[in-house]
Amino acid sequence: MTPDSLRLPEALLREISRDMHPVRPAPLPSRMALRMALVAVLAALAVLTVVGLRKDAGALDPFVTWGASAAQITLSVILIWIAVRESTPARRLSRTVVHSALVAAWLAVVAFALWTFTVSPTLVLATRHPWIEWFVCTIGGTAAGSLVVTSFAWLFRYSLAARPGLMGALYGLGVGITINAGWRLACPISSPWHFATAHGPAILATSLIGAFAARSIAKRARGLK
Amino acid sequence: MSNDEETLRNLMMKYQGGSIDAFQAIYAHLAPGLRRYLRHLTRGADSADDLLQETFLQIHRSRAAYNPAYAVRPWAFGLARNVFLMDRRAAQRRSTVHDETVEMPDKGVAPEVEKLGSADEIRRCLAGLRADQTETLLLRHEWGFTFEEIAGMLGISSAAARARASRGIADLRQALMSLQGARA
Repeated sequence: MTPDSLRLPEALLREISRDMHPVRPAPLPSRMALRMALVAVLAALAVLTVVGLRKDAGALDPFVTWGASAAQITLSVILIWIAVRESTPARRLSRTVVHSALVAAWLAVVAFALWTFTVSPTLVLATRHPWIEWFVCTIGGTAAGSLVVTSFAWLFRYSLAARPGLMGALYGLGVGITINAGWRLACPISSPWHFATAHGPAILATSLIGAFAARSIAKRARGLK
Repeated sequence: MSNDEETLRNLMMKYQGGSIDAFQAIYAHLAPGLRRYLRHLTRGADSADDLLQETFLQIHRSRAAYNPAYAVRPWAFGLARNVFLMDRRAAQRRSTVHDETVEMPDKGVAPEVEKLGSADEIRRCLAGLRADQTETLLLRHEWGFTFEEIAGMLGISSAAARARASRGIADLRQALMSLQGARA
């Protein structure tokens, strides 16, 4: 005989019956990560189309420009894949893997920025006020990233990640790095100071927005305050 | 893949197709094991039954997130664990009300340990182990998950899951021997 506690409660059955409709199974994490990264790449290309390629792009080694950006996009696919795994119960990766990926992604982005400066050291343009450059790169990068990140958070609203903040931070960082992959091809300034005060904070802000959005949407989806 | 897992997977796909009968069958398959797991996590607290209902509600809300390539039981147990963690955070560790009669397996933990003591002794010694060791041991020996599945549920590497279980068995064996030594 089934104990009372194991009988399907009427209220639960009613609730589920009311909401019963066919759903499409989610793709595997690798496919989902590729699809999501594609959205971020399109956003990065849109930025590049609007702002235009940096003037010295033709003179630079393609590895420094397109190669480094392609490497950044690859890193972001990995970060988004880890985020999708993190959001799937029983598919989580170990903390060591997650933290190593976070650190490696940041180190790579900083290394690419320094490499670009070594090859083509361009400082603030004399024709424009430094604040304009800062504003365009920080706010522009953050705005483009946050649009993509918020839509991702909505996709994950029922994912029930054990750590939604970490999940959001991971795909936020992935999106931030992808947007930066496009932005660095458009920005005429390659000084480390400009990276540290404009591009880096834009990536960081996108990651934080991802963490915040994922946490808020997950709480809301679970009916918590 | 076991027949039971194959049955669950087929039921899950029917459930995703909108079948309420499939949901009821899934509940019948999973509820006993999930309840025991939640009772273990909540240390035998009554809130386990509420968390069981919450787990099935979340399974329903997240059913689109299930991919038929996954095994259903680890997915559902992982989800139950997340529900427990969320509840614990939301209630600021309200479920730390411990009951000394921790929900433990009726079956032996491992053949070599089973020989060392009675079910009651094993239960008592298990309660004295570190929480992460006990959880890994139970997931492995009570519910039969592989180390890879346990790693995915707990967010650790499979080597770490294996090490936890191994250390747990060693500690359990030692605790049982000390208990029996004290009695002798």
